[in-house]
Amino acid sequence: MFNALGRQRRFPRPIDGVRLKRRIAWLTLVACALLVEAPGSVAQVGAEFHRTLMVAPAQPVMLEVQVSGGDLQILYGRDGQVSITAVAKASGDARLDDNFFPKVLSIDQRENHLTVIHAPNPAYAESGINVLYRIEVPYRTEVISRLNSGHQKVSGIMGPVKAAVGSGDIRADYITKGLQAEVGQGNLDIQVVGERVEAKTGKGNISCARIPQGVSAETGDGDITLMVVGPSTAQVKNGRGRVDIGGARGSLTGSTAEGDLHVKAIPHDDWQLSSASGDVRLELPPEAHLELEASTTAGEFQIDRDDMAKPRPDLHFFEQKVNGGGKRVDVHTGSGKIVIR
Amino acid sequence: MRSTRRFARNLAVTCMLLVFCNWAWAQKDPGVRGGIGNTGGGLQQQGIPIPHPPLISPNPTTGAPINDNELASFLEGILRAGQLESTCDTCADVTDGSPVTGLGELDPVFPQFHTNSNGLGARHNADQCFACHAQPVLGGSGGFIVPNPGDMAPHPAENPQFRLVPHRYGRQNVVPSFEHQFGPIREVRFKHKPDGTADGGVHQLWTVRGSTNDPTIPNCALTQPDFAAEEKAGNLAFRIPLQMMGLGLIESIQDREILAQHDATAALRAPLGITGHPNRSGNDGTITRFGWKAQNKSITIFAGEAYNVEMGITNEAFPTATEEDPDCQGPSKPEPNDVVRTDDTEIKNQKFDNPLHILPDWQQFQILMRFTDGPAPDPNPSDRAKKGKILFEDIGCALCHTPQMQTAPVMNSAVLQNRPVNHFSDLLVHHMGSKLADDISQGQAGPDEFRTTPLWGVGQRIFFLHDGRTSDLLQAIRDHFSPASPQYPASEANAVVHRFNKLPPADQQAILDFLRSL
Repeated sequence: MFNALGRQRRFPRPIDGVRLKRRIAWLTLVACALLVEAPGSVAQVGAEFHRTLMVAPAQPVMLEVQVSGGDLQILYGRDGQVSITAVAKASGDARLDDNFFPKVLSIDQRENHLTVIHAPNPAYAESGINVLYRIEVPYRTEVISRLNSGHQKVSGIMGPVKAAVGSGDIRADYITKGLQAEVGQGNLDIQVVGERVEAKTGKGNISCARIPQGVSAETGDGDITLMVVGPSTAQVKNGRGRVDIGGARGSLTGSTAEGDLHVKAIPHDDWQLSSASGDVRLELPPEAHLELEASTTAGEFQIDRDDMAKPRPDLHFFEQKVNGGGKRVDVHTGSGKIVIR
Repeated sequence: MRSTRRFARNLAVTCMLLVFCNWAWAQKDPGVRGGIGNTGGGLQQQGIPIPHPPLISPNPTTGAPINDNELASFLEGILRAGQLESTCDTCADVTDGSPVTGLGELDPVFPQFHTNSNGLGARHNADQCFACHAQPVLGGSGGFIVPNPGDMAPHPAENPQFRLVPHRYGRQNVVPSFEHQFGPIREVRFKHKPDGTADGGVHQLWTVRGSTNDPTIPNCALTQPDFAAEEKAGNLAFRIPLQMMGLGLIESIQDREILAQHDATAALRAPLGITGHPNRSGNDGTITRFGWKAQNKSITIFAGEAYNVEMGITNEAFPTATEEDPDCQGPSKPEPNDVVRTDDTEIKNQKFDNPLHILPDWQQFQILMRFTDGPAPDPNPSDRAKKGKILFEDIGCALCHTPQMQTAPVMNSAVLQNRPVNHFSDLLVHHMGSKLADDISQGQAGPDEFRTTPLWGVGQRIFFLHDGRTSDLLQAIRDHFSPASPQYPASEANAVVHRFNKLPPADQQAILDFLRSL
């Protein structure tokens, strides 16, 4: 007999009694091993949850979320409904079952007011379970959210938004109204917010862009970057974190501890910039009008502009009107350098 | 004598009963699902923002949602498409690089009434995308919007081409007779040029003459085309705005799927006289599918064209202005107006290392279209609408209005690939007879040929057919019928419309209810 490839087929030998017993024993062992390895249909490595709640399109939605641990995404989806999707994955010794979400998740809806709470349950080892919540909401949604640990994202809604994370990051963008974002330890990345932003982290970086009504940014230790913002304050309380500001549209107050402070913008309003021991660098366009007051306790000045007089090296203070004067720019550093370009 | 009287009385009663029955069973378009007052400009009139375009839903086949970068581009697209265009950067209310106090530079609540983008052309049909795409939500088809946004006492929502766009910022335009206060938003093509040769191009309605917010064009003296004379000469062909929703899904359908679906119905179509054929690109021969005559190849081309033709904003795809009069374009207006941002300062680029800020508005707009979901049907259709769905297929409507196609099996975007598209169109063009013919040829679509309009979302549209001639769905169906004329063959829809007309009124009503559930 030849198969389609022209090779001779080999027929199996007949099985005798001893070999049959051996084969049964072997198959039994394999089956037992499989059963031990896969502990039945109860324990599993993943669980999913999905629910869509209808809301009145003519009214805004109020969403309150509390999640003990995991990642949380609150995103624009479509009008008239709130869609909640949750995925849990277990690793290591942790195990999940079909009761996981029913036991840890509670959802309460009173008309357009929704409360979503994920609370730990002693039946499940929290450390080995990663949970991702994705909540799609109408554009007109106000959010108050709290996540103990993990990453939180809020995107594409009217707001206002009040978001907090104990340990982890917050990313928020395309919020029409105001935003309050606070992190115990972690980073904040915020873009395109229509009204005032308050961003605070105990330790971590803050990055904000395109916020016309301005930012109040504060980090215990980390960098702050502000791009295209209205009247803003930026404060690095400790450490070598730096402040970098570009395209500021309004008043500025910036301070660092040991880090540098760099501003590249037109002074449309008064600026107050200081560093305890870092450098302060200003990059101003040639046509900028300002009234500069600069001081350093133990540092030096470096003026790289032709339209400005250079102060004497032994001075620690100087003031000067640039292009006839304009908004007031106060710059101070303890032991760093002040550079103006 | 008595018997005669009795006969007459019985006859009168019978006639009244017949009239009453006919009235009771007269089929009627149920109107915009949810009501005009609860959609688009109707909401705006109540102080409620017009809802945003729906984000594409997770892939029903794989569960994959839109990814973070796609979502960011979608949201940036809403922002850009919501902008109100001015004729120059420095004359915008909110100019690049200026301090912003109290103005909504980033306000995505439509309609914005502060100009914050530059590029509005000397000739244009509108000054912002969402002026013509706001029914039932932003990104939808043409509807009504409040003509005095921002005022304390808003007027009722109306056709934005009646007062808002032609006269915004003091522009001195005469509103043509075919733009009615509560009529469809219409753009105009001329059938013929003055020398009698074929024209077919869009002739923009408005000019920037008289703009009070642009001191750089005080001598602009452009005049509008003489629409009244052209209308009298029968030289106008109207088009109304199509919805932008679900276009990314339609674009993701392969040609082979379109042709396979068409082939699958060949035996059923032949006896009804339905043929249909693709409009194809003159460059690569592939099927073009966007626009009333399926004349546009892609939503990128569609976006570039709309920016230039509808708003007069030149761009990389359409770099030449439709009107180059220097008195009306401003001395410092760069050409093309809206391009990839390669400036080396952050003032214009805002944050140069962010890809979202590099793309021009028109390209963000095409990404917005790509990831806008298709219109959602009524989640709880009535029993009659369910019956109408069966009848819709039974009488042959679905032979052209193909209920579903599938996107390509593997695509760059996981959310778009290998998923059903419930758009109700074969994406082909058909002869529709002299009643609908507009004497405009585009590509391989002849003067009486039109693409089968996708019916998803028809339940919340106000106006129907390419020129918006009716807001009555029943009339729209009946206008699919057209006998052969000396100039054009009979409509391919005739046999199906005949079947529709032969249905009992209750069944016709069921079909109307089904359509309004889409």
